[in-house]
Amino acid sequence: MINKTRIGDIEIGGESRFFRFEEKDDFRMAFALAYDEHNPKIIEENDVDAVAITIRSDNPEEAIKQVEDFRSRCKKPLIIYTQDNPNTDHIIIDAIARRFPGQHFLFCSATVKNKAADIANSALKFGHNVSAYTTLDPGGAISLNKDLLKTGLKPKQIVIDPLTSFIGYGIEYSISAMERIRLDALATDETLRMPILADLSAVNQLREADTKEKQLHWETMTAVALIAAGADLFIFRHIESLRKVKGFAEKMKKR
Amino acid sequence: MKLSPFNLYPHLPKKNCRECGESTCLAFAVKLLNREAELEKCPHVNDEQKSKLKAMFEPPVKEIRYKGYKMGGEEVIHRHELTFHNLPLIASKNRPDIFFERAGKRMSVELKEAQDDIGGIIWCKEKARADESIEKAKKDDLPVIMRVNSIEEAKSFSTRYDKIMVEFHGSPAEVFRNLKDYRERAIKGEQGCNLPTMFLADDEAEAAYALMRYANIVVINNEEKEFLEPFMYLRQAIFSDPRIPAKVDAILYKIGTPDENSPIFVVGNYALTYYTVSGDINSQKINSYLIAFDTEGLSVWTAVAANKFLPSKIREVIENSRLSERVKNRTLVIPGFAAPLKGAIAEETGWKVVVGPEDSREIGNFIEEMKREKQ
Repeated sequence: MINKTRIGDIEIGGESRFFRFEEKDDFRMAFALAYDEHNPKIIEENDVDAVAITIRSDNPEEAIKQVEDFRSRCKKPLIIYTQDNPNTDHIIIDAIARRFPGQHFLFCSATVKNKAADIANSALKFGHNVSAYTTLDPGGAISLNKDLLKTGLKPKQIVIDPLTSFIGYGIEYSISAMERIRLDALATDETLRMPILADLSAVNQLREADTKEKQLHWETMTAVALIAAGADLFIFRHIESLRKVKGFAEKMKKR
Repeated sequence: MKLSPFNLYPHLPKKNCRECGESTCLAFAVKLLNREAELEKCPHVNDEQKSKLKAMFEPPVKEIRYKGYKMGGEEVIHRHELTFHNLPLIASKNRPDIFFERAGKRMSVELKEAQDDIGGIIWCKEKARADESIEKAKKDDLPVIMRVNSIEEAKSFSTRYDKIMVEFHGSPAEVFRNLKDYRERAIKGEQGCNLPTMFLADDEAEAAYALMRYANIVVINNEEKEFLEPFMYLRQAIFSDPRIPAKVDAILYKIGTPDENSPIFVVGNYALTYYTVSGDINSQKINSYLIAFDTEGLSVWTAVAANKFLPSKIREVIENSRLSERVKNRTLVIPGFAAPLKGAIAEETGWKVVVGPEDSREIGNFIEEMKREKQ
């Protein structure tokens, strides 16, 4: 069975089958929204299960301040991206983890480039989770997970991010990476028995999705294809797409 | 069972008459196996041989041909196990006259949905009219889609005629459950589970899921360009062959007739990136060089995120093509999305690096600006 990972007060994962809708499985997905400073109220919508923020600074004090500010306004389960700086990611994550112990944040990401073991240690010590980011490479996902688990981090504190490529930008690679990870996990490989993350928040950067309407379609259908491929946790750019995809998942879960 | 041409050969006439267009019966067997030839091309094969052969090389999901399209013909549950073969056909009420082109492929909505047919394929929605519909299909040699409520019902039609398809009826959850079970049973070889399927989508999410999960015709109710474009691209992606990476050779390409002063653009070797960028540069009539370097077939955006946008690979192409002997200038124009790598590329190659636009349609304006700055 896929581990159940607790982010904030929700649990994701728990599948025992690949065809989780079709074979009446018991599992939980979550639909998060990327925080937008220009539209801060939208994250309070009921449909938003969790919120993703990106830390703007490489300075620990400023990073803590940003999370404190955000936390004072929003108590939803929190996904935190750092600047993707291999020299500072672990320092920023440790500072935030320490300041908010036991809040089950999801830190994005431990990678093969940054100090993944340090990030895992901070999550272990202060009760958080880590997303393990590899690049369309199930073999790489196994070895990164092994490195994280070596620190004593519990399997249920890891979420796998195999990289989300959008429709027209290589989504077929993401589909096959996710399918292979999930099938291997359920068949034999304990090191892959984690929920899968699909981050769609970069949809507004796509060349071909040059209007909002197109972005919504691009985001919705990329998400649906990855639902079929096994993803559990989604980060959306637009509330409209989030609602549509969540509605679809609920419809599929109805018996 | 993995078939070889030698499994088929004993059931062919062994005359080597060439009437099928092949030089020998064995060559014909190879074509049959690769689905590049149809059994009907052989004038000498008898009915008994025909049914034996068909049973041997027919894919688990039967392939039905119609107006140059192929429906079904699938062999796997997941694309990485082999590949999905035939694009599901798309149908809609008005069959809008919209075309998209991508990687040299032209695509559009193929079929028009009507009351009792889908682009000429007979559509039987009521059980009471099943016999009549099948008779009509036989008479006109057309495929026929039967609306069914269960897999058992689908199976009951499978031997009635060789061009029967099924549409499972019910809530989306029920229908997708049936489609998945039906495909699994087909792969296991269960009798009567080999019919291609049709799916009626209520919205874009259902339509996208149907492409992933085993519909061979998807009827959609959104005909706007904004939806059709990503929908068609998704279809193309799911049905692309994972055994053939979607990439072009990592070499230096010429666009138009470049000379020693022409600009040099750098992109990854994902086929779609190459076709898009070279097409854009071409249409803006900019004689130039285009370096498509090895990003393992990933798009620029993905390659940058995946650490596969490697300056050393750019240097390889520069060296292999002896670019420095061909041009006077020493400036590379990299895609906007690769801006963070500007310094690393300059260091590795020793060339000057300029960050170009994120969108290659802007390259014309960009070049004009560069010229102006020079002056």
